[in-house]
Amino acid sequence: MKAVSVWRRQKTNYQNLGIVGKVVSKTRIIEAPQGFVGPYWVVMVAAPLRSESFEGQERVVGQWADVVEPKIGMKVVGVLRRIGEAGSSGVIEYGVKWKQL
Amino acid sequence: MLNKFKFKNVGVIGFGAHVPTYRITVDEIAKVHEKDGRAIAASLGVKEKAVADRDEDTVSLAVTAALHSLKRVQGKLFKPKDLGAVLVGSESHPYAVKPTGSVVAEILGVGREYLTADLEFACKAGTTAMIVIASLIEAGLIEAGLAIGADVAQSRRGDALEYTAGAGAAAVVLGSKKYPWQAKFEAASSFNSDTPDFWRRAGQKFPAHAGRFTGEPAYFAHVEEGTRQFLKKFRQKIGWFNHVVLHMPNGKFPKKAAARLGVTAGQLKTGFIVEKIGNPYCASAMTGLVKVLEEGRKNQKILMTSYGSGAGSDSISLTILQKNSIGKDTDVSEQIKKFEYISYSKLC
Amino acid sequence: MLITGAYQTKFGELWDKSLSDLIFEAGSNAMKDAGVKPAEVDLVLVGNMLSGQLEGQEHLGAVAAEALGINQAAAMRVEAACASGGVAVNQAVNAIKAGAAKTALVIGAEKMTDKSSGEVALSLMGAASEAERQAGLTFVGLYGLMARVYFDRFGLKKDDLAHVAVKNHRHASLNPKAQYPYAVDLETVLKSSCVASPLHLFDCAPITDGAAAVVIQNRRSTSHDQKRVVAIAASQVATDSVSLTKRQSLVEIGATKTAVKKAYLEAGVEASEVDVAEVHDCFSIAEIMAVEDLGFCKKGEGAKAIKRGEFDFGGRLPVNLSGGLKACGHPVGATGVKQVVELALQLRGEAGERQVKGAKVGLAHNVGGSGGTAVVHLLKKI
Repeated sequence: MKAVSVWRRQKTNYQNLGIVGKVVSKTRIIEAPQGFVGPYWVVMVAAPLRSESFEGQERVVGQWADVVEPKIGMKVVGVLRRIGEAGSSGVIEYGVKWKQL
Repeated sequence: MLNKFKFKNVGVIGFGAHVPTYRITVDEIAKVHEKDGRAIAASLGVKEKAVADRDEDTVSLAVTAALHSLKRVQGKLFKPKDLGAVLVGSESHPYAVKPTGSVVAEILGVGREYLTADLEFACKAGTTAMIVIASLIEAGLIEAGLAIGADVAQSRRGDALEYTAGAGAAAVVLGSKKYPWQAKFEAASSFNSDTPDFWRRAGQKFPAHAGRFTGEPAYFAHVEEGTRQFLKKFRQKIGWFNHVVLHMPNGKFPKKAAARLGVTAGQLKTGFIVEKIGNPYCASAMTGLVKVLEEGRKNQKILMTSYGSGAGSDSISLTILQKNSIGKDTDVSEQIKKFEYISYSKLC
Repeated sequence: MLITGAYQTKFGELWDKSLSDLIFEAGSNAMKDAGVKPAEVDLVLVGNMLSGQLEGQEHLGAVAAEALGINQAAAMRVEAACASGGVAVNQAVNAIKAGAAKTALVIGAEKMTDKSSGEVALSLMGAASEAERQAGLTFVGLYGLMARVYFDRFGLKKDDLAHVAVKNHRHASLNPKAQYPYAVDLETVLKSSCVASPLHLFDCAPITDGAAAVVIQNRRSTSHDQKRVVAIAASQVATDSVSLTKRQSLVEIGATKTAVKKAYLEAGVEASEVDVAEVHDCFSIAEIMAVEDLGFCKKGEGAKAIKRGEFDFGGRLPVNLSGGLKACGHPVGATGVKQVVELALQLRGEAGERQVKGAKVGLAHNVGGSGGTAVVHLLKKI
């Protein structure tokens, strides 16, 4: 059952909530895999924001959660959203997606 | 002393709301049903409503509003772990069994030692959460608590509710004198009955309602009489309040109730938000309240009366002690301004 | 270390062939090519990524042994995502070097077309990290993220990617075993629909069924016809983080650079001495980075060099004469072995219409995931 792995991931899923970062790459997924509804943007974010360059800085990937298009270099903040597909009867997983600051 | 909640030791120490970014106009919905959008918008007093994105739900909205409210708490003393109770009122809890409150508390880092259980009373569960938390603080049993009203409202395609059923969340952090108050949480009373105006049976996806019966015997009866009872119990006059916030199922009902209660347009203005965001159910009156707290001035008095179908009204009075803004773009007025229209087909 | 037998099945949508059928066809034909009987094989390695996820079949070593009638040999599956095949070859080489085996049969096989493309796309995400899967990053999306950074760093545009597909399809038209044995023009490539920006359909390798196999023996074990025998001069595997976010750079595949450096050293060969190469073009951007990472041209110059025809059949260093992953097809676990088979054909002089005259040194480059694993083999004509 996915419930246990969702519970275990609670330890790390919310780490970037409210954290400010910078978009270092982006891709728009047109062909979504099973379990996802496309199209959607996925961004790579350097966070927490420490310097102007991203080389050697901690990076994370996550889905985009804003109405504007992500741009390289954009300042972003982590917001809470549903992630994954729980269907009508599964345990719901929450995580951090990224929005323009 | 029955149902006369008088508080001496409870203050508002944080507050915040989240209005989702997407908007859909009454016109857009009406077009799908081949109806006259302009006429409907005029009769409802609503132009457009805020709707949640596909990956937003009551939990994510509640957390976002709660984070705004926690950010507003002043001083260095307060930590999320200080919250002794987290109560979320909603009619769209993601689970029928497994409380929203525990998910929200976990995400906010409240820890393990707090009281929670979910509240449901149609659109007024959030204000009831406030009264319960205030009572716990007044009794000296907890030092701080978080009350949230959050909803992603559902409506059946083609139902009149489609035009106004919206989404949103509002959070209020209440605390004892240990923390700096931004407003006094002074008094509350509740007025309820068994009135089947609007309901949703367990297992059903969409609510049902009794049409025009939702007016006089339901909304008006409880909002008006509930407010009058409050004023009588606490020996107050309606004119003493600078701001009056009423539950806003549409743009017409609260204005009509206000007129009958002797509330002026000036008193209603600041907390009146339904025209541009529709009805976010449990977050309706509470978001109006948050907006008043954001924009009001020191020493101004607020009276809020919520309404939940089924049916009942909570009335709560507060006095603003100071102004505080955590960053303009999280203010309700700014969130109302920043939006993006979506089409009916894109609506999840 | 010698390759004494080599065989590739047709690659494509092979509806009537099961995974077992493919393993059997490749394995038995490679053994025949080597003049080796099943009883003489003492090690069977099967490179495969998805059999468990897609058809619930694990234990492929035993499955292959049964299909091929190889009893009592050591047999096991090797998995390293899309580098499964190359790593399987590497493990056979290591086993023989260690004296644990004398005659190894390495089979790379993959059956992908029984499931929908959505299910296959999901299962291919198994090559990525959990966080990357949570974010809904498809395999294409991962390379899309790299492509985006590469574009900004080196001034490349989406249209510059198209020359990779055009070249590889042209090569595939000379390879009857390829999935798409025909050329495509630039306009077709440019017009193809977006899959994960900035990568479009023709920037991506297809979903393919297929298998390839080689027989590897040490010098002492074979009395085979020396003309049809090719030496493995180097076999090196390198690893980098599975997560794209933990890489040092997003415009190169560090594991490739590490593996090829070790390989050039082991073989005593320089990049300029390579006559023919099979590189891992799971996506056009991957080939562009590969020719740079392997030392065939300067960093940032890959796309220009490809456009100029430097890596064409007839160019200074033909790359992906099989058609590459794009046009020959990419049955995930089979690719690494197929690359070695292709080079063996080239060095034996058996590559028919796509034969590079006088080819003496061949390089095979196989990558797992977005660069978590890289394998480089150098083959030499004896």
